[in-house]
Amino acid sequence: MNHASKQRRTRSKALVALIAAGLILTLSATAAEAADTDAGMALAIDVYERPDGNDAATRGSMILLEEGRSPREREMVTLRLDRGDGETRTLIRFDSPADIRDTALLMHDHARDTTDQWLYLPALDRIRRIASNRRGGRFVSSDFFYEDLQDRHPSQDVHRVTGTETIDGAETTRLESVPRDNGEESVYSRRVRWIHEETLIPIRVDFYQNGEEPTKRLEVQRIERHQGYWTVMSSVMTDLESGHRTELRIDAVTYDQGIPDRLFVTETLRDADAADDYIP
Amino acid sequence: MPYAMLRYPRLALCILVLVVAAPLAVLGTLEVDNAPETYLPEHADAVQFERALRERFPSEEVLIALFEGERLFDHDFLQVLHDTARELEGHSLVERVLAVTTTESIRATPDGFAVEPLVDGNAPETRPPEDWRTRATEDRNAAGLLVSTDGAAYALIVRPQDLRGSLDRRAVERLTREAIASSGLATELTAVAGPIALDVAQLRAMVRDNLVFIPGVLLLGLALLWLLFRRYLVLFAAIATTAASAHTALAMVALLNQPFNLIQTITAPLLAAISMAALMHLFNGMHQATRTGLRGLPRMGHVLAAVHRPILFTALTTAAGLASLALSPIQPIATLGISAAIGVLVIYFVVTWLLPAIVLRWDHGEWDTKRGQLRHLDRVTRPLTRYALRHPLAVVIGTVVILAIGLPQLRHITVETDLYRFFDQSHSLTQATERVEDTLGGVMPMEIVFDAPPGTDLRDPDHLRVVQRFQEWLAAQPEVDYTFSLVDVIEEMHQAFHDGNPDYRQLPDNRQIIAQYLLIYDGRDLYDMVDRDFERARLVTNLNIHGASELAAFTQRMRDEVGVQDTTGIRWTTAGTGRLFADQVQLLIEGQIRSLVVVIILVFLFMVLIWRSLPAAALCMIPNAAPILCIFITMGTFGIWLDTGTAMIASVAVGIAVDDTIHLFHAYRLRRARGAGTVFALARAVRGTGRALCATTLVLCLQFLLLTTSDFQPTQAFGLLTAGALAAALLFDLLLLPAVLCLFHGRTAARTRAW
Repeated sequence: MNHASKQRRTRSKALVALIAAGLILTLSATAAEAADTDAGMALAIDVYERPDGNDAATRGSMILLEEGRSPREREMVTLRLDRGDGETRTLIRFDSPADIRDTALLMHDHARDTTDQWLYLPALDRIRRIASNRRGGRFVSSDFFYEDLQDRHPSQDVHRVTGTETIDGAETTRLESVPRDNGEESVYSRRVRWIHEETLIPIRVDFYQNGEEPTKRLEVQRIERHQGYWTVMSSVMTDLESGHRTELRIDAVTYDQGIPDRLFVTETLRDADAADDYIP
Repeated sequence: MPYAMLRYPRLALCILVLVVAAPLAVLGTLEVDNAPETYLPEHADAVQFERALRERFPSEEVLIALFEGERLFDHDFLQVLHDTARELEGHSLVERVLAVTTTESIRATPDGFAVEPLVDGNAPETRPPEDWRTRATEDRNAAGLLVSTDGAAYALIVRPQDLRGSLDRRAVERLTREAIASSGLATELTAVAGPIALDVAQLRAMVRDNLVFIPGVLLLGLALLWLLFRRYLVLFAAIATTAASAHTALAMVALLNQPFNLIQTITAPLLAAISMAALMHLFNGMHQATRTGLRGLPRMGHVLAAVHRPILFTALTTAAGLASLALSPIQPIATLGISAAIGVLVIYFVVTWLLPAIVLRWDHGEWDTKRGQLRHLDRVTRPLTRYALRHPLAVVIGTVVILAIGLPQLRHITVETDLYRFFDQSHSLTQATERVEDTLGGVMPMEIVFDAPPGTDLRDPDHLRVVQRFQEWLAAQPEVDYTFSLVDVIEEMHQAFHDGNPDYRQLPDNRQIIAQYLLIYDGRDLYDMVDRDFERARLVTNLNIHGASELAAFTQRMRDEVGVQDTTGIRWTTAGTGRLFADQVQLLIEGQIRSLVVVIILVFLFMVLIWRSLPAAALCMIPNAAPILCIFITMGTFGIWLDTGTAMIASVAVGIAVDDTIHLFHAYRLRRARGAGTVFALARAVRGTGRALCATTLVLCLQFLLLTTSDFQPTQAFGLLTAGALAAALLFDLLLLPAVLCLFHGRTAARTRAW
């Protein structure tokens, strides 16, 4: 064997070793990524299935905050009913200020993330249906989109655990979720949630819309346990571009009262007193 | 004194290097910004209001990309348009992209209502192209702004985030063009216009002007200096003086925390021209001293004795002329005045303190004393002065008659600044703007901002009716191509909530209904029109007029006709680019009058200081006041506007032109002091200084004429008129001044003290 062929063989071995190392690294990375993805999906399911009662009624406020302006507060009550199989009913009714009193919104969230919505305007005494594709629409001119009010099913996104972090002394797992459908079913291109390990509540969520920087941020400010359920009592959504903020505050909450299905039909929207027995 | 410096050539060289290089450290912080608000003072009402308004409402400073063709509503084209808009919105410099696929439309649906995109860019295949076209052209918000009435054209409007200067605007323009090119939409792209495109065009003109003017003016000056003196050291001196003065002046712009814009592009060529004139006097002195046989230190001492005071005085008068611009409320003009005045003082310092020491130490060759290249100029100077000396009365009467004939033209001077006539008809931006105006409508945004009375808000139907009446009046005006307000949003909601019945396209009478509509409106566009407290709303208009005086007249008409109607306590104010430019008219007039008065007073005071005689100072003002009159007569006759560029001419021209008077009158007084008669002293004075005056005026005129090659019309007019004024000033110096002196002193007066 001459020197040249020895050299060639040595080079070939080095090449094979390099490719093998590359493959191992790639496979390791892929395996690690797959592990992260699996863990991500598991965590997302845990969050989605977090115990929150079969029904809930709250009394609280939506406070619109803007630098240099007085806060604007809207008092409201909400009713929620989980019917199982991904079917959820929600009713929101405003109590104040006076010119929007009794304005109400009814939402029927269906399995596979479709929604029907109706609005009742007392000044016109009219109920109108809202187009279901307004995910990016602002909920009553706040910084919350309609999509933010809905529980997105974990199967609609690819989830990945991207690390752990301590926020205000609370241990959290960072979970990144990217829509599977190329964003057609979501206004967001990406969400990053910081999941509080004990309560499984995302205590911070960064929302991305087609960019590298988040456009909105949700921050949970107060969590309390009521009737054994961890409940977000106060949270703030910030529009990071404009600086506007919307605080959602719950003053009272009651779970599992057996709220009847009949309160979640369009006809009931007109009857402002229909749900009085269930409001805390 | 400069003489002391002659002993320290190395120190002089070090200081020169320092004066040239030190300002460079500050130049890095100089921002390039040509935005309309930078032309107004910080404290101006329009600027303050604009700032406050933009904290809550989006800027009207947008980039408009116009698309035309048959394919516009084809499904694949709409899909790509939507993807491009989304891609652009993802960029950190872009706040919002308005297109048919992103703008919102309120409409009734079979069992409800929807606030949805005008055209569904995600699923364009759900309707045939003609349906989308009809829907777009019938939308009140989009028609005339986004879509042409026939649907054959539409725009993609890029609204940026808060931009820091013209480079950011160029970045927005570039990324928009790149996104359009890479998506394949470029085939239908017919124009890119709007305020951002205008600013980018100005930036390009600015870069181009700097690339042409600075070397051009320098080369012209260097060529003349070479022709006269044939020494490399002279060329070095010219380059160093120009660099020192221009660098210092531009550093001053940065230190004043002002941006570099199109007005400042004049700074470097102006200082280069003034440098050449000063150097010509220094080296002319060198040459004359050489002819007397002096060499070395005595020669330089002689030179300084001869030129130091004239150069100091001319520097002071020129600096005074420029500094008078500091009184202009137009910020870039004031900045140019201050920075260029300091640059002129640097020229004086370099030419009389530093260069003599450097020349004395490092210039060893013999100076050529056989200069004859300028003798041909005698053919101009001598006949003129000879005529003035023989027929002084005729010259004075003739001048008075000619100026008197021209005086009525002053009435025709138009004070005007037109954003879209900064460039000529053939310029791509002018053509793009016309294209957009022809297909969509006017591009000059003007906003009417309404503030509700304290304790109330604009959800009150009575308040909204005020806005509605205002809008109806505006829509009926020929200058207005587009209007949109909160009233439109509410009317559309009302119609949509009544099954799309056109009878309900009106403002409801009930406050609760309005409040509830505004509560449930879930789109993005509402808060472009009203703040979240509903205390301030804006009525957006697009006008087809651009000129500042046209805008001011329109605003006044609006005030007269709508302002008197019952406004139920609502206050209204105009805002936007239209307001900023309308306000410039008054400021331009104020600035022009102020700086003109100040420059005349300052120059007169300097003359009194130099000649220590009031009559002499007054006499010397005559040949310098006459060219100003000539400039204004020319502007009135040829319809040249008094704008941001031409507003500076009088001060700059007087400041420079007075130099010739000083040199000529100084020479005349010297001869009179030695006992010569008026005519003899004048003849000798012209003989001694005439060539230099002609040569410096010639080179200055050529250098200012170079500015006429600018794409930017105000710079063109500035160059042309300043050159004309300098030529006129020379003519008056050689013709009128001798004639007036003859009449004043008597042609045969001799051995009497001049003053």
